[in-house]
Formats: sequence, structure tokens, C-alpha cells
Amino acid sequence: MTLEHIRPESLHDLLKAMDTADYTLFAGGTDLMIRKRQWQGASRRFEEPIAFINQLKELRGIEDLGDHYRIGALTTQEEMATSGILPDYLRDPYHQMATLAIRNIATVGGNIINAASVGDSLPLLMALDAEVVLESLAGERTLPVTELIIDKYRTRRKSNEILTRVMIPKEDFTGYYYKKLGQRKASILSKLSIILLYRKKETLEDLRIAVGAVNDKPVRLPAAEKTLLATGDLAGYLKSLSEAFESADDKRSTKEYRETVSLALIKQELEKLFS
Amino acid sequence: MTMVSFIVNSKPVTLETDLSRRLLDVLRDDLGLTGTKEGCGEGECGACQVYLDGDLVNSCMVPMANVIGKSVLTIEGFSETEAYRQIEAAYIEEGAVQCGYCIPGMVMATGALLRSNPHPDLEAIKDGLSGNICRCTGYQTIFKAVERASKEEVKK
Amino acid sequence: MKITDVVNRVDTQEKIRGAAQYIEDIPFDNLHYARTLRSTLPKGKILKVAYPRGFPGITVVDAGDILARNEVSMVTTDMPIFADGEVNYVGEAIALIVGRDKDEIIAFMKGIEVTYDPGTPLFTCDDAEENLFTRRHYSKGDLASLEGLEVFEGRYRTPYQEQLYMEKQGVVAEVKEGVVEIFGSMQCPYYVVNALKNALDYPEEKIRVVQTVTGGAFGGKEDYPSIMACQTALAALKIKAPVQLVYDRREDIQFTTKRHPSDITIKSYYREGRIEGMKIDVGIDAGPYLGLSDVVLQRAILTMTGAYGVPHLEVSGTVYKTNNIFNGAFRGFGGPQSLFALESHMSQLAARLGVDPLDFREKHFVHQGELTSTGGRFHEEIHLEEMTRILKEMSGYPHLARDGRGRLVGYGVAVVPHGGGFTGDGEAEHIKAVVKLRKDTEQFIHILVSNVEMGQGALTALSKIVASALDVPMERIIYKNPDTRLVPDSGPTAASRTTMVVGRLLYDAALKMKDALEEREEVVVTEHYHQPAYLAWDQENLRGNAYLSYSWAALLARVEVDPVTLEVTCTDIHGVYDVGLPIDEKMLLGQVHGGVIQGLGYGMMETMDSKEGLIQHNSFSSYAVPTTEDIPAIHTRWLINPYIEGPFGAKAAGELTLVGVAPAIATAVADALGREIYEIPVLPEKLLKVVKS
Repeated sequence: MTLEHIRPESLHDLLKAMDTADYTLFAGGTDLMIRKRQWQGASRRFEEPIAFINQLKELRGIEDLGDHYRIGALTTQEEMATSGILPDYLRDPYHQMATLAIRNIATVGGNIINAASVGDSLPLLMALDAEVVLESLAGERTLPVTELIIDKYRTRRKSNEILTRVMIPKEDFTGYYYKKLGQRKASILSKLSIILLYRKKETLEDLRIAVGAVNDKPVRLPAAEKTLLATGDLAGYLKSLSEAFESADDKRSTKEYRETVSLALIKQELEKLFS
Repeated sequence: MTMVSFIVNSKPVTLETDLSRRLLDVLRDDLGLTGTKEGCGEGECGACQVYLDGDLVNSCMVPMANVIGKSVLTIEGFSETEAYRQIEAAYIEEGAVQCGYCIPGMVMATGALLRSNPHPDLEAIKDGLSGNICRCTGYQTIFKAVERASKEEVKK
Repeated sequence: MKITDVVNRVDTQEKIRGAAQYIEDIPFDNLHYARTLRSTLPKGKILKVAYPRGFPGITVVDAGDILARNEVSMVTTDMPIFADGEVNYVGEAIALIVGRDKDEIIAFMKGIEVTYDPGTPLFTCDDAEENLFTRRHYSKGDLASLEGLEVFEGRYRTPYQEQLYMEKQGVVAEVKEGVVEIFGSMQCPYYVVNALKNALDYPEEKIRVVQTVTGGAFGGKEDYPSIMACQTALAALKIKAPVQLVYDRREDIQFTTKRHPSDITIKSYYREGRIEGMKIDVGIDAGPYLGLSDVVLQRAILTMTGAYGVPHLEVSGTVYKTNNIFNGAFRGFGGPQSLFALESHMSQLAARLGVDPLDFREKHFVHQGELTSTGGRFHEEIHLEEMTRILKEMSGYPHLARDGRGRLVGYGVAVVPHGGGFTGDGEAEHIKAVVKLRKDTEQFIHILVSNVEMGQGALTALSKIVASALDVPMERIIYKNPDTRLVPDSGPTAASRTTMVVGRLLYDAALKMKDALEEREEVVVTEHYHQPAYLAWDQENLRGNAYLSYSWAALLARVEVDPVTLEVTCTDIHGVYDVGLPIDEKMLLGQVHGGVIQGLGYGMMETMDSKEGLIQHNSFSSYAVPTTEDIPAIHTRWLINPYIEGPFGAKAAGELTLVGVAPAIATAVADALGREIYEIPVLPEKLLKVVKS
């Protein structure tokens, strides 16, 4: 029997349906609509049953809970970009994603669960040690974004689970560096993105670095970051990073460019920080 | 097929359609609102832009499931408003229209920009229209048109 | 009204309101849709096409439905309407699948199985005999006499460029009382008429072609609509209902014509800082059919010495036959390729000689009365020195600032011509334009020409010329999208000829009508093209005046290059343009801005690779064209230099604005990096290799 598409009115109804059958979850749809793209006017054929979830208001909103931000999975990217609650290091990367008309419908949760290698929120969330809450009829579990993402388009979400919210620890970073490179200056998929967050008062107290769109999964090396922070050995960190890269030539860029330029940009920023 | 109800250009509409059908196709094929164009069909060019509950969206990326109970404004509806008249006059005066295919979307984006930022500088104009591709004008006259529209007082 | 009056474009308001009807917006009763079954192989024999059963609503239209000739008649007739037994490129049309329901068409197409006997495709431009379409050659002076001079040789490569008009290709064919009617987005209604006459063996009375509001073309809708019209006409005749063929965007990007990739070698022989001779070899990739490619090659080689007088020349060019995509017209038509090579070469040699690139160019500028590269004579005034002076003044040259906020700053220049109208005596020998002006009894004046508005402003420019010549208000002029039942063949909307050639004919017609303007009855004036007396051309040997007139541009680009990422930002384009007398400055500025940004895309970012004959960058997301954030400040000045044969002194403008931009930007990037660049676009990935080498 083929299942109908559903459009549940509550999270509970959704979880009940997901407990009995596999649904593809459809939030803003900015990725799924392209995957199913078709001749103008023809139907978008989803062979698998779809659960449309964008109407679930309980999954939307940004809250400051003191020690962390709680972001509902259906919060749009534009709500992130223009939030009066969030700091610039969070808003800026979201603002540079796609364009206004897409950010108005694309969701925070969608960009995570889609797990594209070019998903611009992933390096940011990994650098921030963000966690996601996955909910099923059986209950909730919490997973760091780093663990959730396996590699390109693959996550550890089970088919009866939905990502309901993202928990982002609040940090008193004193500065950040964000660079997104594409084939043009705006409205473009990344060929490389770098986020660098730090707290520097008398000394450099905290430092996070993540690189997106190079490997299938964004690269962050927490152990190497710790060593770097302790020793100031830039060359050692860059060597670890270079060894972690496994890029390839594709339509957007080349392995040589991505790896050379990431290392050069990070080196340049680190030299400023450690000077 | 599902019955869906929503509002288009201030009028309630109910029709039977597939939930995964694009808002763009419903506007053009079911409702005859052909001012909204398909340029690329994948959210990159902005020719299909409309307002969904007031927010600028690419109607080629919105399935009908996400339109239920919402309000859609297309160029046909927007062109009845005061805010539009100002923009139209500025586009004409600056010679900002060539082939015209991107223009309804560009005008929707202009309206959204001026609503959130009534007096944008050049940088803000470029940012606000970066999701709309025009292959004819090189955008220069469009920037000028937005500037001009932002300078004139809306006549009530 | 006067030609100097400031006007607004006449077609703007309905476009802004979304009321203008492009082909896909027009309702037809009982409209059927068509989708193209395409070859998946670059070369092979079709052994069998197996269609699925159980689709009563579907009709297949293919080579078996040909009525007279399976040929798309353009310059040649070597392209079939539908593949007949063999395919020669990926995407070649095998059949149209026609039905009322798009979902049913898609389902039917999923069930089609095509069996091929694969052949051996050719993807590179090698000099093997089976790889050649045409070779052209011309010479001047005696290059051999320069043996022993110093030489500088460079090899330049340019890529595909996609027109990316915002409205996809589209036509509707309908048969009414035995007449085949084509409605569609197109540049050249009579090209379509001629293609249908040949394909159907119909007399002209049984064919009607109507241009619908056209959402950009840039050359892409010059030849291609003829193919679609032939296919849909056969479909409409078969099913006896209107058939709409509108491409999907990715289909349009992958399978319709592009700008020809080129491979150009220039060898300069020089003495005491002056080039005495050049040996030039131009190769372009046509794809599997000749189409317009030989004409593109001619413009490429005839543009090869640009704005410069070179005493001794050997210029040869080759059109290569491959199993890549079939290429065609794109704004500039061979010029952008030649001028990228030439202008890069000039700046490189200047740098090697340690002289200023503008001073070096100035030494070589052509002048009125001198011989052209093909032995014709420059009969018009040429003001290149004055244009260069204005360029220097407006840009602050030579005190250009090198401060780029930590970025590398570079400047590049280009001084380029564009020959207006068809090459040589093409206007008189092939086009033979006819225009009509009709004054009706209500005193409205109708412009009856086959030239179209495609965004460039033809409706406004031609209306303004006629209104000014008659000294009547613009409101009295009526100029509708051409319907070949009503308008004579005034030629294609191409080659920057509409204002200059067709506009002049209308101007002459208007002057003849002027005396009859106040008469009550209808008045019709017909005007035929006559070649100016100064023009003489030998097409076989490419000798004489290659163009009716030349328009000129002097450009300076300023770029900033990020020293780490090698990203290029073009911050300013300064340009001085000689387009004769600008008919309407506001509209011409639109042409300048649009041409500059298409040229910027060509030089900086637009990337299109082909793998085994299949275009890889097939969408708006992978084929990146400039958006608002990529736009430099564009500074424009006119050099007023009326052309005696043009209406009110106007010359060609549309293509000129594009052709010099890529070399100006590429040489600016080379200047910033202190390296030589031989290939566009100047992608950071390629610059990384240049810097590392």
C-alpha cells in the first residue's frame, strides 16, 4: 500500500505517524524542491511519503536561556540573520547564506539534517559545540552536531525521529572571522567557508576553527585546537588541518585551491591572533 | 489531491491540488496570474518572487502544503498598492527595464527592501536585490530606480 | 519631436506590472505540450527507438513525419530537424513527445528505450581532415619580408559563454486554415519563415510567424527558434492542434547554442617598439553542424587587428567540426574571442617592452583614409586619440592609485572596434532589407519591419527616429511586435544593424512621407536597402571593406585582487564610446551597462565545461553570472562622431559594449599580479596556478 503525504497539525500527531511508517520530512523545502525539480507545470514526484512539517509552530523560535540559545528547528535562516537576541558571529554566517527569498523559507533544522557538504551552518554549529535534540514517540535524546553528521547527506537521525531544536552554548567570544568563498560574491553555494571564533583578553583563552565545503563533512579538530592554544604552534596545527583535508575537483572549485587557500587564510588569521 | 484554502491578492481561494505542487504553477496555470515568471526553477533567479504572509519568497520553491491558510501577494496584486506606484514610476524614469522578464520579481524584491529599509544606501540595495538576476541591464539603472523610489514620499 | 528629446521607453509599464505576455503566458485553446527526446550519445547510429505502450494521449513526432526536407535551413542546411538514423551530439533531438498532460509526457519518456551503435566522437579541435568545416585566410603586405625581426608569440583561449536570457526558448505552432502559424520568442522572424518554407515546401502565403514579447536573446534566439519552429510545425500538422515547445531551463542551458570556444595564436614581428607584422591563427569549435559558425569565424578573423594598423599580415581561421554542443550567435559574434586575444597580446608586448599600454596602442591606431586589414579604406572619421585622451582624463590616468586596502590593485585597458551590420556586402547580397511606413486614416504612423524588441530598445529607438524625422509626437507612432503577414523582411535583429541600417531606411521612408503627412487617406512608403557607394567587397577572397562602418570603444578597468584568496573584484569600468550620434542616451546607457556586465561575466566568472560532449555547468547555481554584488562603478562618456549613412548619424552600439570588457579586466588582473594571463575567465583557481608557476 502506498502511503499518502501527510500534513500533521501537531508534533505529537507527526511523531505518531513517524512511529508507524517512514516519512521524508519536508520543512521549508528549499533543498527537496530542487532535488525533485521538473519541467515547469509538471508535478514534483515524491515516490516516498512526505510529512509536511512547516506549519508546526511549536518548532519555531529563538530563545535566550541564560547559558545557551534554544533555536526551534523550523526557525528560518532569515530569523537567525536578523535576530535581536543573537550575537553577530551567529547572525553573520546566516545572513550570507543564499538570498533573502530563500532565507525566508529555509530552516535552521533543514540545513542541518540535509547535511550537505556545502551547508554553511554546519561549520558554525560545530565550532560552537552546538547540540541538537532529536525527538521520537519514545522520548528525546541530545547529540552534538559533530556526532549527528556522518558525512555528505548522512546523519545519525533515526527514521522515527525529528530534530526539534538546536542548543547553542553562549560564549563570550571577543571576536570572530568568517569567510565564505563562492564563484561570485553573493547568492552562491560555498566553495569554501571558514569560521574562526576566539576569546582573547590578556591572552588567547579560547579558539575554535571549522572549515566547510572542503570535505564531505566540515572539518574541526578540537584536539589540535587545544594543542595550538597551549603551545602556539601554528605550523603544527596547520599540518594537522592539511592532513585532515580530503577535497576533490568539482564544478565549483579545485582540491588545490580549496586546500591551499583555507590554510593560507587560517594562517593569516592565526598570525594576527598569536602576534 | 487535497483541498487547500489560502488568500491571493486579498481574495480567498480554495482549490484541489497536490500538496507538493509549486505555488508558482498554481498561480500561473490555475489562477492565470502569469506576471510571476519561472526563470530558473531552482530559487536562483528571483523571477518568480511573491510575498507569502508578507515575506519575499521564490514561488518555485514553495509547495502548496506551505501555503495553506496563508496570504499570497503577486505582482498583479502588488501593482494595486501605493508602494508599488512609486516603484513603477522610478523604474520607468530611470530606464531600468529592458527585456522585462526579471522585472516583476525585481519589483517585488524592491518593495520588500523598501519596506524593511525605506532609505537604503547602494550597499543595502545590492544586498537586498542579490537574489534577482537580470541579464540585460547590468543592474545600474535598477540601483538608481530603487534609490529614486526611496527618495520620493509615498502619496497617500 | 526632436531626436535630442529625452524619452522614456515605450514598452516598460506593462512589463513592470507583469501584464506583458511572453510566449508561455499566452493561452491557446486545446494547447498541447511538447518535450524533446534527446540523444544521450555524442555520436552513434540509432538502431532502434522503442516507445512504451498504453499512452493514448501521446503522439511521437520524428524524422518519419518530415514533409519535404529534414533540414533546418540557416546559412547552410546541414542540420536535421530530427535525427535520422544517427546522432552527432549529446542532446540532439530525436523526436518530440506531444500530449495534453505534462505528467503523462514525462511518464511516457521514462519508458522510451533508444538503442545505439556508438561511434567515435571528436571533442577536440585537431587538424584531422574529418575535423574541419571551413578554413579562411587573408593577407596583407609581405610577412616573409620581416624575417629577422624580434617576435612575440602568445596563445589565447576563451571558453563557452551561455546567453542565459531570462526567458527560456519557446514557440507555439498552430495550423489555421492550412496556414502554419508560429508564435515565439525570437530575433529573426523571417529566418523562421525561410526555414519553414524549406522544411515544409510551403509557399510564403501559407506561413505566418509572429514574434511574442521576448525576454532577452543576445544572439541565442537568432538561429535556434528556426529549429524549434520546424519541429513544432510538424507536430501541429500531425496532431491538428496547437503545440507549445518551451524548454526547461537546464535543457536550455545544456543543449542550445553558446558562444564558440576559441584557441587563437598571435605572433607579432616588431622593431623599435612598433609591430610591423602579425601572423594570426584562429580556431573555433562549431560542434557537429556548421550553422552560423563560418560567419562567426569571418567576423573573428576580420576583427583580428582591432584598432591597429599592421602593415604585414597573415590571418587564417578554422571552423572545427566536433561532437560537442552546436554553437551559434552571441552578442559580439566572434569579436569577443579575437579581441580578448589581441588586446591581451598588446598589453603583454607593451609590458615586455616596458612602455605604457595606452601609448603603445596609440602608436598603432588606424586613421581615416588608411587601408584596413583587408585592403578596404577607413572612410569615416576616426577619433581614437581623442577617445584615449578622454579616457585618461576621466580615469585620472596616469596617476592611478595603487592603494587597495591590503589588496593588489591593477589596471587594464582595451581599445576596440565593432563593425556595424553584416560583414562585407552581406546587407546588399543576402539581407536586402525592405521597410514600410504606413500612415492610416486616423493619422497614426505604423512602422512595418521584421526587427524585434528583445530588451535592447528597438521599439523606442526606431519609433524615435521616425517621430523625429517626421517631427510628430512619439504617440503617433505605432510599432508592434512583427507579424510576417503584415511586415516586409527588413532582415534579422542581429549584428547591431537595427538602428543603423533599418533605422536609416525608416528615416528615408519618413522623409518621403513627410509631404503626405497631412493627407487624409492612407499613405504607404516602401524603402529598399541600397549599399553605400564606398563599399566594395570580394567575399571569396575577403578583400575590400569588411564593414559598413566601425564603432569604437576605449576602456579602462580597475581591479582589486585578494593576495590570499586571489578573488578578483572589478571596482571600476571607464569607457568612451563612439557610436556615431547616440540616438537616445538613456537607452544606450542601458546597452553599455548590460554589455559591460556580460563582458565582466565572460572575463571573470562564467564557467562552462564540457565532458564527453555534455555541458557540466547546467543550472543557474553552477553557471554563475554576475549578481548585484559583482557590479563595479561604470563610468561612461560618448565621443560624438555622426555617421553619414546612419539615421541622424547613429552607428552600431549593442555588441560594441561587450567586446572589449574581458581583455580590459584580464589585463588588469595580470597587472595586479605582475603575471601574464592567456585564458579567461580569470578564476581564482586558475590564478593560483599562474601565481605558483
